[in-house]
Amino acid sequence: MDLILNNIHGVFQGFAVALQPEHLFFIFTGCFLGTLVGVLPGIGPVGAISIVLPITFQMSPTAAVIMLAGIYYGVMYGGSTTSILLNVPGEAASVVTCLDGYQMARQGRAGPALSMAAVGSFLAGTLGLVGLQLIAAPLADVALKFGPPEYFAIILVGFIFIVRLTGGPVIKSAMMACLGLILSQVGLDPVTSEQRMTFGLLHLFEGIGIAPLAMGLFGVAEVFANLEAHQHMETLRVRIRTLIPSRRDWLRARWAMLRGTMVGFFMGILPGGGPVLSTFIAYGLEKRIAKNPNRFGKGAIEGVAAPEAANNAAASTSFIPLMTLGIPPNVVLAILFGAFLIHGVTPGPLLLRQNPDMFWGIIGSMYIGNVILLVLNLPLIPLWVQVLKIPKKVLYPLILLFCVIGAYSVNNSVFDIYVMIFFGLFGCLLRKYGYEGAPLVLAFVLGPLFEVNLRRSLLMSGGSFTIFFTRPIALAILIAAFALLMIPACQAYRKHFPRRGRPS
Amino acid sequence: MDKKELVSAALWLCAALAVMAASLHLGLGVLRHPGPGFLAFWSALLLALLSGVHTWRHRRAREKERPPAGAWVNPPGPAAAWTTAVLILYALALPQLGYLSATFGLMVALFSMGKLKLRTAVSGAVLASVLTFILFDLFLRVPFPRGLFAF
Repeated sequence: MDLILNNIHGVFQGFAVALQPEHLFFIFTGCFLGTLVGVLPGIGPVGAISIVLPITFQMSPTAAVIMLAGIYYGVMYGGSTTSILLNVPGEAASVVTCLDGYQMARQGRAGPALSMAAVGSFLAGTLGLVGLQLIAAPLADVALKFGPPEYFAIILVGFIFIVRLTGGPVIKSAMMACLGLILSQVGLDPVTSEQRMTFGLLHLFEGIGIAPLAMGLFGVAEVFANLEAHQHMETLRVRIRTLIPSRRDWLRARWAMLRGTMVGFFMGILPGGGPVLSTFIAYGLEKRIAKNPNRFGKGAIEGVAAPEAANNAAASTSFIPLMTLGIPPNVVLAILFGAFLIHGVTPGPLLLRQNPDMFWGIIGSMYIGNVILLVLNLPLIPLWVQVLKIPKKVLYPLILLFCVIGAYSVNNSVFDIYVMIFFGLFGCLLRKYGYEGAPLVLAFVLGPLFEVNLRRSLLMSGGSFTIFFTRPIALAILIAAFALLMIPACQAYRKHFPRRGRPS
Repeated sequence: MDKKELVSAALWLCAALAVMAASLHLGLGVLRHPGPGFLAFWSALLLALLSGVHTWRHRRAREKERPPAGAWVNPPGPAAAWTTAVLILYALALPQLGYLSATFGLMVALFSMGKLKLRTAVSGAVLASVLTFILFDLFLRVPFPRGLFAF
């Protein structure tokens, strides 16, 4: 009962914060920018948040996070528009929507597809928020009882998920995670204040900044990759007759939306999961349980509703580990984690106690943002389609300029521009050699937490690793980590030696 | 074996060995009191092992699965190389010339690389540099370098 009352009180508190005119403006701005970025292919939410981050430095921490969060879930909405109308996914979480959404558009049913995507996004986003507000507060209370061994174990599981789920070959992802850990070690030692791998450069004493690193890897590298891609985009003229789906569409899509929401809900919480993966799983699930799977890929409305619901639910629930444990579950939240820190706020179990206005304000802003996005998306579809006509030779120089300004303005340092250029080139090479940047950034962000908790645990135990096995929560988490490692190994073993161990 | 993969694995191995050496120099400490190089050393060791496993796995790849070209077949293309050069020049010029002049130059160069007409490139560069100066320097109070011309 207390939980429910606290939640109701918290939601009202959140709305009181979010409905302040200043915050409403930033919610709207975040949602608008997010939709814009979702529509434009090439710039994902990571690049967008990195670029916008410096603009938030003059804002209050709550306003800054509200706006950056708005960009994140706004991207999820915006991506569906061009996926359906033009077969061009604005960002990775909208790739699956192209499969059936574009086919619906070609059949003259673009309107229902867009409406279903918007309604599914809204419902899933809102349900995800209900889950977020119900789970976050109790989980934050539990997390207060965690010590360094528990945190170490959680981050270790996070690393394993990141490596397993971020896509690409596992070994390459693991190598990137190791590299991220190494890069996170640059700077002064948190315990002894000794210089580590700074090469005597004063600018590296505080370590490599997350903003220039992320802007380089995701903003500049993206521009470099697109400069070489020479893609030609064919625009299909689609006439939208009606936006209202038929009764049959609703009947088909309602359960798909709910299943997509469930998938997104859990994938959002999972470290390394997030919106992109949830769309593929939701789509696969719909196809698997469909009476006629052949309809998929030919304009099945479930193929639009489920992934769109999944990515929005995942976007909402991915805030749970960040705001309760202080652990970002995906790369976008890792940048947001950096934004929290830059604004002097440490996300984690103490966030609710120390900054309740901010905690509930973010949740309240997301409810309002979902409504804004629903209103913003459908009437402005013609505008979003026009946005795609901005020539790349104008767009890319402007993106680079914003990256440069963003890198500079974090510390007002030209050195950070060099860091960004270096990681831009490095990110471009990584792509060419088939390495993912996401595990690197996540490990880079989690690295200091991982190190501090490992060292504190070893100090507590007098150098014995048994501390991780004698504390029940840490042990349970480590068993889960071991299982996560062993399941794919067992599957690989069975695949390579199918007859071994079986009676002939 | 795919040379591209071999080169990348070799580079990771070299990087890992360098980090291990640096970590040893920093000091690993003891388990009850880990030193500054502790985590970096073990991360680098894992990176070295993984690059070894990566090499071993690719050695097993069959001849016909190899891509035809050599290791550096896919370096960043000329567009990316030129853009990088322009960005480095910009970073060098920024403290000397100041934000407005340096950014104007950067944008003219980038727009021209996109084959915009010179007049369009120049007017676009003026707009981009002035508007961002107003937004970031005057409105958001980011202290851009003023340089020789004091703007």
